[in-house]
Amino acid sequence: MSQKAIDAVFTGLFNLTDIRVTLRETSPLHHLTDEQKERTKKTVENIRKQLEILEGELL
Amino acid sequence: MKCAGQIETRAVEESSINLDPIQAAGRLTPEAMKAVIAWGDGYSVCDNCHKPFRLDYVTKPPIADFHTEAAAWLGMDQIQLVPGARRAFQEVTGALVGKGEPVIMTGMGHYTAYLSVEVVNGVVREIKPTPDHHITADAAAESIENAIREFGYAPKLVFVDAVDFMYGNMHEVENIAKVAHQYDIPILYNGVYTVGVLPVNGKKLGVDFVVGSGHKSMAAPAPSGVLATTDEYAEIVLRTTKIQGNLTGRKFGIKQVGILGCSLMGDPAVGLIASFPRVKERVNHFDEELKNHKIVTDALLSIEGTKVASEYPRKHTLTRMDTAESFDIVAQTHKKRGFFLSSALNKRGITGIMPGVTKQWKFNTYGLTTAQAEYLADSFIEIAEENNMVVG
Repeated sequence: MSQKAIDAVFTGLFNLTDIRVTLRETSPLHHLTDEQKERTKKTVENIRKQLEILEGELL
Repeated sequence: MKCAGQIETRAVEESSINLDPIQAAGRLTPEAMKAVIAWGDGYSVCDNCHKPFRLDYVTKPPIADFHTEAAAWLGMDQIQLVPGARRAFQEVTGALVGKGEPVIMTGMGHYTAYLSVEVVNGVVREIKPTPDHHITADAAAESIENAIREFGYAPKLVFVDAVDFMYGNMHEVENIAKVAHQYDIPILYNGVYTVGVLPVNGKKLGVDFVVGSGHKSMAAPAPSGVLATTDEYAEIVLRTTKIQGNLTGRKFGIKQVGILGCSLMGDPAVGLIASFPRVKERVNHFDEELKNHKIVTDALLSIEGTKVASEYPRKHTLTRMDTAESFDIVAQTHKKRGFFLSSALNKRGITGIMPGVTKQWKFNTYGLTTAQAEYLADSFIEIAEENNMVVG
């Protein structure tokens, strides 16, 4: 069992959910404030980290 | 984009401002959205179900704690998770109403409340709404008196909607409860548009049952809801099984009869619980929701001929507009007829208003940001101006 991979999958999904929430909060134009952009940038970086963990653990 | 087979991915909330009156306060919180990812498997909440094997005793996830906290939050003694408010109605009528027995209901009640009486072969006697679409204690007393004359005994239950689905008007629940209790009739507070949206305290209101809808107003997946009651009525309505198999002698522990055992599992249960901390907090900020709502109603009222059909000033974010003298006049000659309004809104990324309707229509702004409310207000004005309507 790879607990790291499992954690990375859920962390990635939860981070994507945070971006989904931002899409909802800014619909329909999706003009993000500077704060929302900064938060989304950090979230995207974190999703990349989870993908790296998955590549390392499973591939 | 498909999410599976022929099933479209639903992205209404991500792509649009959704004004559907029944959907607004049921949109999931971020916490619920994450919880449903992890708890979607059928019997997921049963991973840690131990003796006495009942849903409200499960501590992982914290379903037991939810029951304690939610009952206190609603000012009631006990609570039960239910698969939608309608099942709570059914559970109460199932315990209190017999064949041919009368139940008092507001003339503005949800159809499922009526059906919950029909399913036990009860009889509905309505409270007549006032011309301005309110349910009053005086009218309730009159209906009760009429029912007593007709049946020879007091009705078995009074249903009252805190906020009705037709106009989003608030009704005088506290006074109606006092009237019901003068006749020793239990009263059910239908809080599907209030529980999870604004503060509700059943004890202060003097009601015997508080029913809330998870998917309508508690940011939870469907079907979900709560039935809260007093210790007195819990003994009857939330009673535990006593049945025994005649050949096998089987018994079924402390399962609750009225809801046929464990009531709500998987995503609906965990989603509702995950949203609960935020829901408890958000009810304290309903004034902000009303401010955003006012931005939109003010814009609509600036369009000549437009009226608010609901009570005004607004006390709830679900509102019925009367545009028979504004948008409907445009519809009479527009090439898209009555569909011009929903079509123009859709072009601007706004959905949820019934297509083709321009005389009277409902919308709900609950949960919108101020920026979204302003965009919505500007959009209505733009549509009016595009169609040569007078704005000012």
